[in-house]
Amino acid sequence: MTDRYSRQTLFSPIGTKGQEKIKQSSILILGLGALGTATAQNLVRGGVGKLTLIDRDVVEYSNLQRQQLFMEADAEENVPKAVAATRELRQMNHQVSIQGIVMDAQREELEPFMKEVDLIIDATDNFDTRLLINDLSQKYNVPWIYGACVGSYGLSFTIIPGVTPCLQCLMDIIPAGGATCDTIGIIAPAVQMVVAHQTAEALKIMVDDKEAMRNQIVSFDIWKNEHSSITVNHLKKDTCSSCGIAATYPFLSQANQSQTAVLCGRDTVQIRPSQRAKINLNQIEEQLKPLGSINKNDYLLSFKPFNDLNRVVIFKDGRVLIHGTDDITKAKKIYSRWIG
Amino acid sequence: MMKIQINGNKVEMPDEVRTIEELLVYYKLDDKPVIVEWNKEIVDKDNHTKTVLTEEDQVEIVHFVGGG
Ligand SMILES: [Zn+2]
Repeated sequence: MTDRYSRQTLFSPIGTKGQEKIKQSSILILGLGALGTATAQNLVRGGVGKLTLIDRDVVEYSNLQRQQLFMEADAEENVPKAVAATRELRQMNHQVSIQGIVMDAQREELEPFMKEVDLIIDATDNFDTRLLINDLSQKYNVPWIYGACVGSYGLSFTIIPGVTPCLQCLMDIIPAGGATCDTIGIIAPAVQMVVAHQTAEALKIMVDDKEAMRNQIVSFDIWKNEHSSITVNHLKKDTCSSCGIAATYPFLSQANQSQTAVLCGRDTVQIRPSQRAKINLNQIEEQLKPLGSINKNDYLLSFKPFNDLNRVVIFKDGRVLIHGTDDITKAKKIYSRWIG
Repeated sequence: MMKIQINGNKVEMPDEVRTIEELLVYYKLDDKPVIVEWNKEIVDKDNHTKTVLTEEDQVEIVHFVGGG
């Protein structure tokens, strides 16, 4: 047990002092798809003190090609990703305090974590959540590491409040739709490349090695053999509404939070009802039983209607996933057909 | 045929690509959030149509994607 981290402490920029800092660190990973599971594994093996994992989704067969903490049985039983990931991670390193939470993270859910975490790792699949993270990061002075990939392409950038530009400074337009894992796919090595950048930056932040920080936005295409890094420091804008002098944190306001979202790589729409009453899964099971086949566990109920292709997954917290469509209007119709 | 370097690779550009904006159109990145560096200087979006490419230019393009 004593030499568990020896190869990491032999690495002089970390050393035993750095290892102690890593042990004192608390990190939040948002999203447990390909990026989140791989980064979580790196951090747990590396001995981070505390890791909080948040994801709203369940494991599907199409995840297994690249999402490394999940097993066939998890896909078979639609186990929530946060539950499956926590189970595997605890077996890798019992010394790490790991909390896996099944929820759709919006402002009110995330804000309480901001005072206790030292770093947020972005492993989400959408810009809505990233812009929310970006504002929370600025408001609470918590660094975050952007990472994203699609196809054979990926990129990463580390955002340190007060030092680097923020995501808003760098993006002149917020893309709606665009290429996703749904439309052009994703290969595992593109994921792992982003994960390598994110993990390395996380280690530097934890051991407080400011000199070594990347300071550049890095991107690559691992199939076309392209690589690029651009120094973007002077793109930091004083007028930025997230990190500028008169920041208003626009993405923390209710109006900018979407209640429906198309999930990346899944042909699935999530609907989050505005009234978040606790749902009684037993009651719903009774109602839907005559109309289709039902799979139920402690966290959710999965319903496949007899005469309809769209499977519906209802979570205890009221969220619903409509599978087999990326059309929000159609998904809302299906929602009201079965759930009201 | 103009030869320029894009993200580390030498690439031959068709004749219709003369500016940064046309380069982005060629790569179907003109309506995406991008950061473009041209000979080590970042080019503001407002200047994409004005910036004329010449032989041996070095261009770096980073575009933002949402997957993960
Ligand atoms: Zn900013």
